[in-house]
Amino acid sequence: MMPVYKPWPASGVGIGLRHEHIQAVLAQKPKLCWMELLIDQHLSSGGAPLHQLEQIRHNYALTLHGTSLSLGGCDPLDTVYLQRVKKLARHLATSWLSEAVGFSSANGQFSHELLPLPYTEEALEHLCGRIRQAQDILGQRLLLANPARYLQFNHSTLSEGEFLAAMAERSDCELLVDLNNLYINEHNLGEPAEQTLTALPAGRVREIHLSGYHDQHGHLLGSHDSPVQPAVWQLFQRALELFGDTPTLVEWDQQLPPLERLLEEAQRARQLMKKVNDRQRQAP
Amino acid sequence: MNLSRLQTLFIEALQGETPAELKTQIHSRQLSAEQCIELHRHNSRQTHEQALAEMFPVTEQLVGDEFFHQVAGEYDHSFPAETADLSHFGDRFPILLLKLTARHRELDKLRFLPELARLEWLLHYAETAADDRPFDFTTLRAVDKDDQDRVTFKVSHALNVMFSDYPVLSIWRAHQQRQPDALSLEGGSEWLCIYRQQDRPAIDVIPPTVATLLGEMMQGHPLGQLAEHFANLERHLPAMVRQGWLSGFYLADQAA
Repeated sequence: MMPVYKPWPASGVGIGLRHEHIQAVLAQKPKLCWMELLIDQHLSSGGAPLHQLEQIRHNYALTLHGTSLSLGGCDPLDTVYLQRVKKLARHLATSWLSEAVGFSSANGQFSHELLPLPYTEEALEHLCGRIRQAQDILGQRLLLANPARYLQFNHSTLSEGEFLAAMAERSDCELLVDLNNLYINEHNLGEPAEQTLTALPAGRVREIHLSGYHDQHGHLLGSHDSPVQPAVWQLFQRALELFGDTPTLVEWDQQLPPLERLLEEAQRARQLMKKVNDRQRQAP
Repeated sequence: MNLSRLQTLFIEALQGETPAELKTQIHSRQLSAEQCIELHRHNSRQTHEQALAEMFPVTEQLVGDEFFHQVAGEYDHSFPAETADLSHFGDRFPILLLKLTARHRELDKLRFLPELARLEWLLHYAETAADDRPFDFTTLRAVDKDDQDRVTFKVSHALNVMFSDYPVLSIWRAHQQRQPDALSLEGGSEWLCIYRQQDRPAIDVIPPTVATLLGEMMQGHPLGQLAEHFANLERHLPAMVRQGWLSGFYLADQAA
């Protein structure tokens, strides 16, 4: 039987919920509105893994985030996987579903690594068709996230901001703005994060991600293994000015600290959000 | 280069050498094209190895990190993932171990590994399988006497049966208790039933008769046929329902 949950949506600041923190969350019931699940960690059809999520859902709004759907891929969509995601989303009455821009499979082989798309008109048209197809199957709009990129294709003709803005309009999807990834792309590829932020249609930005990166000999990796860095906090302030009060998630995936440390990061994000909101309310 | 060609080359590059045609298409501020690809290659392999380590923790403990890393790499190469669902990725890992133990005589001491890995895979499966509905005794009692031979039991989604020539359950248990030194290949030749009990995966050693009975039930044999093959059905069935091994029934000529 489907459990019945309170229908509150995700809002304010949430955290990425990882396996290692589930028991602590159930025991401590931290004061948060919502949490986000990585689809690949939680695609259970039953048993304790699903039942723990049901318990958590009684106290928190949940969202789902994935990177394996290969929305930019040229192979047919993995509709079996998509149906399983849809079933989980319905079962937990999640507020929304997000996926990353990119591809992860070709010729029937899945890498489970998000690979970058060239920012071309061909890739844009292909991606938009696939987003529409996925949204039709899921019966809801998707949020699409900007990826961390370590390389550029020589034949790209669009900036990241232009690509994402056109994608959102043409496929009628919403946007998840990952500020850590924007900063990484600025550092690695010289694409100004501010320029990308201002190119995005503010009305379609539904969620913001904050996390830490790893500096590997001067090249930044989206490792999510450290606190949010100062440059990303600055981008957060700018994003709030541009997009207003947007649900914001703090992620930490590798070298996972105790839950309390993650909650401190969430508290910092909440304080910054309040500061920007107050300032905007007082502005003439 | 069109999108489809680019993606084919990229995935090829993750599996082995980076095609020159791809290298000429990419650049980065500080890294060479090959270094860029290597970052993605490393991430993909790490994700797959981590998934295997979570599904096969005892196998990993037994062979050690370095060997497990090598085997995971070979698995990634020989059995590429065929679905976006990472939880299915390990399904053919026991087959690879079977090939490796048959091919390499130095692995003779670990000849039980494929069966141990099969046990771990079935435990992983049992943990996350779909929930069963509660057994409907009321409807079962109401089945007309003339229809009883057509009663066909549904086996729990989480349940699987395996036979092992080796004492893999003892080996698995020793590693749960962090007593790997207790490893012994004495015993074995046993049937195991892997299922879910009170939300957790469980393993029972079962008699060959019960294993065969479960096998026939999984093939959809109705009660009338089972009664011809098995004495003491009336003793086995209530126990199977109590254990949660049977989750329901249908009449043979009706859709399941």
